[in-house]
Amino acid sequence: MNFVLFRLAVRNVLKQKRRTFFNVLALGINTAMIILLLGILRGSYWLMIERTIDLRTGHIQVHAEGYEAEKRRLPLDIAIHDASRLARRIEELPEVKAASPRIRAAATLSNGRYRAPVLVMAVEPDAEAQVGVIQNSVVEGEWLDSLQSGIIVGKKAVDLLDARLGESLLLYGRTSQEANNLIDVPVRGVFSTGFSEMDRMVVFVPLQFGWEFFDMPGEATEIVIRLNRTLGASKVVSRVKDILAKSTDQKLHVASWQYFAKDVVEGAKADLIFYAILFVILVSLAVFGITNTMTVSVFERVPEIGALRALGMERQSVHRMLLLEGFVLGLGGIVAGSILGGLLAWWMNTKGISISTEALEQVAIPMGDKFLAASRFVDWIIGGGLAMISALIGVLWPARRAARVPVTAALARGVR
Amino acid sequence: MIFKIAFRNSIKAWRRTLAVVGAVAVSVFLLEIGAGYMDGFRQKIYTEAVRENGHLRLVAKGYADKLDLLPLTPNMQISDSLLEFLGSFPEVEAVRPAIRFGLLANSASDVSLEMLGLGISPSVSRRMYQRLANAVVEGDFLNGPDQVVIGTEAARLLKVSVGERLILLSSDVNSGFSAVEPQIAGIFRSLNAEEDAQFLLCDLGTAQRLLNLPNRVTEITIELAHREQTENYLEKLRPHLPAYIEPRTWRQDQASLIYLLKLSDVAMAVLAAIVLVVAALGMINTFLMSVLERLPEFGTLRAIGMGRTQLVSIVVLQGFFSGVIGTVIGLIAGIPVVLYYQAHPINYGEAMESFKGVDSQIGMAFEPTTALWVLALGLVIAVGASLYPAIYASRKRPVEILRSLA
Amino acid sequence: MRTVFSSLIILFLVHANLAVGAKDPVAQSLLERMDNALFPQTYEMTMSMITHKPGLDDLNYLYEIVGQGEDRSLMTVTEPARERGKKILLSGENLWLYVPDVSRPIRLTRKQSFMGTTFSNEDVMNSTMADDYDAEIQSREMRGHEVYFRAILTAKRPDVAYARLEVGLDSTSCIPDTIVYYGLSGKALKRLTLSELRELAGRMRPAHMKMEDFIQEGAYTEVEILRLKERGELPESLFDPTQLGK
Repeated sequence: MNFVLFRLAVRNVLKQKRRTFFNVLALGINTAMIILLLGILRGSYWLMIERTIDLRTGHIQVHAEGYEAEKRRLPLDIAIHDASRLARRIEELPEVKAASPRIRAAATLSNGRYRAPVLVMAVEPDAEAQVGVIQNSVVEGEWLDSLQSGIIVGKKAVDLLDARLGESLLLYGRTSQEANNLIDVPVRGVFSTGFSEMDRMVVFVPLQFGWEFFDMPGEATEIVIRLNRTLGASKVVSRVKDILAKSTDQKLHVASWQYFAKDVVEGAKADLIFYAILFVILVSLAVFGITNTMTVSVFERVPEIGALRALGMERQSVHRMLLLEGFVLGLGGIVAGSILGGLLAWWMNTKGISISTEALEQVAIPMGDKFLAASRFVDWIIGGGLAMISALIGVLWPARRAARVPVTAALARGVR
Repeated sequence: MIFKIAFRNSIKAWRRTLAVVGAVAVSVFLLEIGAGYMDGFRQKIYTEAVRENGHLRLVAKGYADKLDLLPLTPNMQISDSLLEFLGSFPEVEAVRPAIRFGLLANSASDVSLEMLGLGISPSVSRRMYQRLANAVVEGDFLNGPDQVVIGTEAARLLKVSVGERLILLSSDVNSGFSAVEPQIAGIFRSLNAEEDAQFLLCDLGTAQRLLNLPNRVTEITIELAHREQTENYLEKLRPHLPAYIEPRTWRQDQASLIYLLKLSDVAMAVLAAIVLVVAALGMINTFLMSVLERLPEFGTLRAIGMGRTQLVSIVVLQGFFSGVIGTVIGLIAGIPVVLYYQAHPINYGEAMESFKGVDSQIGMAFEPTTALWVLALGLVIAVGASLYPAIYASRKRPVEILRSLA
Repeated sequence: MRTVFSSLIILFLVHANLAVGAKDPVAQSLLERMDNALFPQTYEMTMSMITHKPGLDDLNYLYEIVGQGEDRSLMTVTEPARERGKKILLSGENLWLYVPDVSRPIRLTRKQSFMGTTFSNEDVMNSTMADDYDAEIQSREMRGHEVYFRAILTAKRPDVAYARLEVGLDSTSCIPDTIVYYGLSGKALKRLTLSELRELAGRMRPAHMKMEDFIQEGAYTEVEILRLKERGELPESLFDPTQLGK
């Protein structure tokens, strides 16, 4: 590699201020767009994941061995013993924000006239408030209190059962031993999430109530864990397993959210293909732009190149020189793009775009109303890399054409 | 006069004109493809979200207020005349009477599984559940009477495969227990784990026999050409709907759906903006450069006395010509590609094992409004990107221009 | 003779009343006799069942039933016509449903709830009180010449369907006329009222039973025994699920 060639390339680039300006601008904006795009894609992916974690899976779940296989019938006889104590032990881990033991059971809610099949979630009010999001959707009344009997019911169910805050409903269910049970329970709060199934079918009661009602004192069908950070959840799984192994002899199954949200993960994978194609289109646009301007540039520099050839430069060197010019342009594009991308990313990461619709006012959807990007340093590497690749590919053909310029071309039009 | 000059100039410097036209054409081509691609993606999201459940859902009055998840009463009687009437409007794509019910599936291996069933006529089922019909891994989708289709997880749990018979046990409309034994026509693979394990599709006749609902259904969903036509269509229907039927639009049924659609709209808009900026930049670049390179020419023209306005006009006109031609060429090349992929979406599931059976299609969608926007953009850029430097150039005194180029 | 016998029983029961604790041998024996009073060990009967839910039409069924011992019975639907030929076989922990035209019967276990309701009636019809409950006499009163007891039955194990029963029964015949079923938390779930004593299979038994549901006001099921006959041995094949289609 010839340093002289390199210096020549740099000088050429700097000399053609106008063209360089446009090329660097084009490359820079393309790079910035790619950086922004990556941040947005990651942001929307995380949004989906966080939402799934909030509403469905939590970060990590613990079950008694064998529960997963039977989960469809909502078994109460495959349970974790001493669940509260184990939850507290799990909370000792620094990565864990809270661990909520729950009983998940099928039951019937009745107002004496109509009966509704429901899913009962018996939870520790405080732990659940830190693990789940349902307490943010309570629109009437209050969240659970472990010292008081009470049930939190969805808005749709409340309307259909004609129930009112403070009034009692009948809860019928079968205990873990299949015995029948029936009890009055006052409506303590009403929630509304906008998901009609949830608002109709799910009810919340205190865990202690669940122990008594389902005749399974101290037990839980699951322990749901919320971590301080979503990243690295699968690594925390082994630490949870360790703590559990030290605390109890029970055979327990521990898994992270990816296990329970397979459909979301698969859906994201399918989306990747979509985005890959989008990238190809973007990069094509960038490459084309560069090729275009560089070709024009070569065309106009024909006399100049002819002169260089006349002075003794070989074809190969001309070729290399053009390539180096592309390289320099690429560098310029990376710098410009990184700065511009940085500004755009900063804005999208912090301010974002707000999603507001009229429908949201009637409903307390337990998720954010802002669309934020989530940029990472690797985005700049990818953006920069693509900028360089675009620049180099862009000059490939012009470089070849330039190399073919004959010596005599210098004479054809005169050097300017 | 100016036109003639502009026109002749373009032809004379045909290489440059060609370069500009070519640049515009390629940018517009890629932009149209990118837009068609994203329109296709957005349409798919909307399709799956709204179309599947129907733009309009007709149920018997009181059905939506039942506390049971899948009540069989109140239900509706369907007659040919009612169905014909519902479908008699031009915006209607499909009328889909169906029965939703809960059931216990029981296989010869003595495994029982609680499932959610939908009884629907096979001809309409493929349309309604295109997503699943595209994801059949074994056998075929519903294509005749006395058939069911289930997901891979359900098939695994029940230990059954295509061709075997499956007993469906349910509580019929009179609260007695009832059972039928249709044949498994096919198995689909759904990305949604719940659906893959619990959703069962059978032909309407089988459901009606099982539940003792001859000529009756629990719902009629109607698919329209476009979701925005829903309210209008409903207004046309309302005066003629029998009193026992209650219509519900897709907007009414799911607030959360609206949120999700808004979210995807925002995401798509941002992506579209990005592609647009990149494409526009390429075109602006082209025009700017082409004008600025002709500065010496302008200098000469001004020197021989051409007025400023005249100069600007000629430049802009030339830009406009190139822009129009380039944009049109780009669209002529791009639109057929979009239309082709709209009709023949690529199925990457066949290429990649891990995606096998999933609804793994990449298609495009041609939306005339999008194409018009692209056309407008091309022209605006052509004019704008020629105008600005032209004005800049025209402001300079001829002498300055010539001197700066020496 | 009867009067002496009755008085002796009263004496025993008076003593029994003073005893604290659930295990009361006399009360227990009462339970056993109650079990036997309702149905013979092995029997054949014709039964009508009417289910009434407010706001809905009544469901009217007619069954032919054969039963053996504590945990085996076969019910065949004879009315209404569209349900004719359907069968329910109870055998141990399993319930088999048979529908004509379907190639095999469908097995449900206790743990499976078929729409959540299958076993709730079966709980009640299963009359093995003595095994599942400890009895204690709570009160007694005279009704004419007969002594009438109220007994509290407490479940022996947590897996018994109803944690507590309150039974009102006549001391001589040991036929209950009321049974109230309580859930674990102490709230009444159902009430069974037995009436219309008639000579059935050689003894006076209640021919009419009404079960009221407290979860849904106004919902009840009425059962009428139209014919009851004690049987000797019943062929095994009757309770063989593979033979249901024949």
